[in-house]
Amino acid sequence: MAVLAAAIAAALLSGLALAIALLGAGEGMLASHERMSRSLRQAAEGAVQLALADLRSAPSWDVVLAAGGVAEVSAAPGRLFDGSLLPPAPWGGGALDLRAATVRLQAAADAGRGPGDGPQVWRLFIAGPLARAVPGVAAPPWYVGVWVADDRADSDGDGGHDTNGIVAVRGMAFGPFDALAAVDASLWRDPAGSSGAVRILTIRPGS
Amino acid sequence: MSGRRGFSTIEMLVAMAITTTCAGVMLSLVTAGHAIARTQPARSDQQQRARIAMETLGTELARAGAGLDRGAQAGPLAQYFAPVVVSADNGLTVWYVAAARAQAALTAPFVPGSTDAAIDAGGTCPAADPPCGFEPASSALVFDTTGCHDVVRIDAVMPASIVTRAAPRTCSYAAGAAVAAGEVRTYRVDPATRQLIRRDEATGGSVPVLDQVGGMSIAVLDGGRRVRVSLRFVSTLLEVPELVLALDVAPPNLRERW
Repeated sequence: MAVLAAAIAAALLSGLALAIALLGAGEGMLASHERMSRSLRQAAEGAVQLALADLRSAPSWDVVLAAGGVAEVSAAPGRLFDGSLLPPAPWGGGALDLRAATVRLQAAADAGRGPGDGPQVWRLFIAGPLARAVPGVAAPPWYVGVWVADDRADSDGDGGHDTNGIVAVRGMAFGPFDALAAVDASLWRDPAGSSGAVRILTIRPGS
Repeated sequence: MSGRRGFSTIEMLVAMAITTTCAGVMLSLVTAGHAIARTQPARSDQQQRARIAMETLGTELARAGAGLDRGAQAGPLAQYFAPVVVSADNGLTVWYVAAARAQAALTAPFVPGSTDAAIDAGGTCPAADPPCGFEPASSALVFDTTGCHDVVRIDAVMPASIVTRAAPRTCSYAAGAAVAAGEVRTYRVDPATRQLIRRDEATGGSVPVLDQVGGMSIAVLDGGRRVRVSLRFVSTLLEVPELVLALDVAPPNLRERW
């Protein structure tokens, strides 16, 4: 009788413990995903700010919009730049395909181009692990990239030449399990072209 | 038979004491486990509501103050008016231009009483795209350099104008004022239903976003550059304490002053 009672009580307790453990694990997973999502978004915004610092020192937008040795890369990339378009993911696992990311971005821009919009040619401007962008800080193992293109309102028909002082910028932060956050910004350069006269017109969460 | 003997009284007493102690421990564990199991889903719900609130308000504040990407009035809305304000009913109201498309300027005055806003198709917006990317059944912001700002609902898009559901409420806008697809949303807590409500200021329509929100407090700090929102989540179970979510955000479009 005592053995039976003990067995029932043990089963009941085990069931309760399992339910609580499952709830706790689920809660922990949700919280972890939430943290990663917010962290990636902040990393993407930080990458845009990092690119802005480099873009300020560029003599003109045309230098940045021109193709480098590799068509997907800007002729004057920023200081944070991995040599490879297939860099290893900082969180382990396989390599990140930045060429494919550029192609996807270009395809989305082409698909969303209105009849009167100017052409956009997206090129990689900065790319590297977040930890290298902020040395000495315990940064999460995200990889950040920033692409630049002429803005759609520039209707000169040349995606590599700026006539209105505005460029479009997309910052992306990559995390494990295909996690991704993006931020879109429009940057304006003073026609006088003095150093530092580059400002963020708008910055919006990307889709 | 003489070799067989039963338990002694002492043995029985010791066995009973051990059994009673074990049963007591088991019972207290089961009771505590049951109480946790009963309240844990409510706590999880509360946490999930807090996450949704953080995501919803965080995303709105990330967009808050985004202005035009081109034209004479390009740049953050904060150049012209405060895009994050505390509403009359103690809600959080955010203004933003939604996307880089659908941005234009007025070519004729847009005044109270009028619902026809002429836009410069071919000017600040592409010539081959006469409606400039505006769409019926969407909202648009109208603002000028004097600080006047309105939000209107678009009922129809003509080749060189948009037809709004209502006239501008606050100002008469001269030609050259900006018109852009955008949103003005107010988040407030309804104390009667204990819901976080989102109100579309262009239509006046409201939708509930979250249940069991006991209250919200908002502070706009640093001259409008920083927003602090505190939400209090309640539970139907008395054993579950209130959960307070505090957000302190410096929206990216409000950080820089032009």
